[in-house]
Amino acid sequence: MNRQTQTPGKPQHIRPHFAGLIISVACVIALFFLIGGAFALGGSPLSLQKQQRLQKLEQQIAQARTPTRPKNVANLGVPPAQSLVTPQAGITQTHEGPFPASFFLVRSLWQGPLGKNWVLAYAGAKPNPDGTVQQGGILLYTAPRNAPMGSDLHLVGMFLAPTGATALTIVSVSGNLLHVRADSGAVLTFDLQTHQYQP
Amino acid sequence: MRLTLRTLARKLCVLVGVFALLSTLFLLHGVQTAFAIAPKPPTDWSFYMFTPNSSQAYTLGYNQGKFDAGFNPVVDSEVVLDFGGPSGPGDGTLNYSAIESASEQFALGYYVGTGADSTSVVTLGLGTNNSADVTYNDGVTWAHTVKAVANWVSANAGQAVIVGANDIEPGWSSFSAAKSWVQGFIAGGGSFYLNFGSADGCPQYSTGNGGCANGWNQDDVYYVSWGAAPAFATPEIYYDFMPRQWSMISLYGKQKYSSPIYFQGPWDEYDRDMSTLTQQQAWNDLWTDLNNNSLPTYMPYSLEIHLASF
Repeated sequence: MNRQTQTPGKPQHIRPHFAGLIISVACVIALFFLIGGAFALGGSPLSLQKQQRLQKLEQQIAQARTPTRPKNVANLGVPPAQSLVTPQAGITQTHEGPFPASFFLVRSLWQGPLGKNWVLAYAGAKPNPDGTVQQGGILLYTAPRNAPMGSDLHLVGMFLAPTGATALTIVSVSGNLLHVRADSGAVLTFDLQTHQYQP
Repeated sequence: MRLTLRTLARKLCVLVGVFALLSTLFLLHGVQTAFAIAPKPPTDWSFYMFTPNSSQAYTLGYNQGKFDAGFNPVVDSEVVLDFGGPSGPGDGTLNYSAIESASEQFALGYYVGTGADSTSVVTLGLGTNNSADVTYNDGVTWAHTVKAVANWVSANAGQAVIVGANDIEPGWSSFSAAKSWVQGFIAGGGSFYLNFGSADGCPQYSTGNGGCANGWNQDDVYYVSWGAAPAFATPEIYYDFMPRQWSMISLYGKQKYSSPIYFQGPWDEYDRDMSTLTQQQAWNDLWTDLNNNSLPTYMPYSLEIHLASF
């Protein structure tokens, strides 16, 4: 073959360069998609680590599903019933209750009998969305006195202290009256029966 | 010769292009575009158990076993027993021996309750929280407690996988304290824990590592929920803003670490407070917010907290 037959004219020299450019750009774009795809499919170290951890958990579940010995539950006796613990009346310095901190910030709890009910009074504050104290208050629950613990707990309500009172802490209890102190130093009394604050 | 190379290059590029196109299609296939919400699995009951009681735990486990075995085909479940924080009621009075015993009896009750069914499995989370001053040592101790129960279950029952669980809420402690607990849990040999907490104060519409309550930020909540090696999450979905907060945290993880959160399922408290989202609403809201942000919607469980003892 001679050169003339391979490259018959000038336009023929330009086209291959142009095509090469297009091919190069296409290759770069394809590579970009490939790398992006691999990354999105779980190529990051954390993603791979979590995938492995999930697989490990699934393996454990699969193992638990496969009995290593014949199942004979007839030999497994029911444990002797334990008497349910009677809750102790009194004040507890605690930060938790059966609700999230975003609902109510707990400083202390008083629980004890009141009439036919077992009463739980959580003192603390209603929080702002950012977790800071909005207003002091008391969150009140009741349960039947003779029922197993927690079997039937009812939310009575959240009783916010007079405006300006910050988070409350229970100081003492006398009869139906709960004596609380705000962070600001103010001392208040809350009537557990009327659900009213007294000055 | 030049022609041959050019032809080869073209063919190679065509191949790469086709592969890239297929990869893109595969990726697009993974993106949820349908708006039909996936059906909610059966909702499993978790329990506040601030006073651990073995026979009560056995009954609760037995009930869950009967429940799971009652489906055709049978189903798995995920349950957390929440024993409160290390500085919980009575301050520092967590009775680890009673916690172990109650957890073991729950697993045994489940094993018996499933009867002839030997394929249902409960993932049982031993729950604590980050209220007050949680420490590294609390995490170590919790990991040891989980391992002790797992060993007992392996020898005496079956059909249960024992994991840790922690109701981690920004409002309850600093991030550094919660992180210390996580690191202690890892150091103690803990493989898995479920964060069944909240994202107090976190942004609902942005992913710029925005601030949350008590000095936390989105990266912090992401860390304790997914970023830490043993972390998995079943987030509290009590109000309609909560799924938006969690979706933004997962999206943050997707953007920053290429690793969105694969949630275990929503955690509701309708039984405790009927002014909050129902099981179905919690499922629908979380699923929809995740789907709207092209985040993973695979959630194997639905959980609801109940009160066994205070």
